[in-house]
Amino acid sequence: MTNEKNNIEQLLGKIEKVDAPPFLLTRIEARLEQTQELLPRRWSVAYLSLAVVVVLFNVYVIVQNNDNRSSVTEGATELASSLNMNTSNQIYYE
Amino acid sequence: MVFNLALNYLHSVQEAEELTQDVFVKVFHEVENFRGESQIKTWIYRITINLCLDRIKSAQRKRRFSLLRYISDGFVSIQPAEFNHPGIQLEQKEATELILKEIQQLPGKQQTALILKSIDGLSQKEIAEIMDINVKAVESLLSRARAKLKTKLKNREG
Repeated sequence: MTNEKNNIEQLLGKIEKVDAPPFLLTRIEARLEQTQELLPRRWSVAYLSLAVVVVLFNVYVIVQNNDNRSSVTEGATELASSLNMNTSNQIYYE
Repeated sequence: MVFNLALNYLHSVQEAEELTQDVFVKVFHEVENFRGESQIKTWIYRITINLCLDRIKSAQRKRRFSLLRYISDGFVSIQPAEFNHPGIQLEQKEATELILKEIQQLPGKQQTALILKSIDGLSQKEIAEIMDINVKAVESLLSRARAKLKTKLKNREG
């Protein structure tokens, strides 16, 4: 058993250290440049999305306001009719 | 250091090159988060080990999946990376290859302890610091790893 253990340890101990390929550093630098380019693109997509959300929100608010205004106008017309008041802007009657 | 450690885990120059690049990209992006609780060398060791173990698990998952696909429709897509460790002498290649492949099947912590001790030649204290455990735990991991390895190799011969 001890012999087997020694054998395994011997074989593993004989594995030598190897020099990394010389172009590996260049590849690492290229990868780092790539990741740095990606980051600004992500930020611009984020800003664009935010702008779209803001515009859509504004459109929604404007549409809501228009709906409210028309319902207020309708309410006022109804009230005027029920009181037999003239709902027209005409001063002179025909 | 990183390249050699990756080679000892992955047994392929191509895979070790890719992993080394991944390690340095990760180090570059996370260096701001390095709190200095350990030496930077220890921190880099940990990143390398974690990425190596993740890659091994991923490869094992893909192989299992490709086996299922083969069983279901006869299609095999994943080929394991060719064993190519330039640090192994030719006359010992077959035996060492066998041992390294069995080491790769061990649980992650046992694998790490054995590689760092038997191949990288680190002391148990250094291994304990890298793995963030105490020296007794390292001894226990080494003992279990060696026992399991012996059993597996015996079963192969048997």
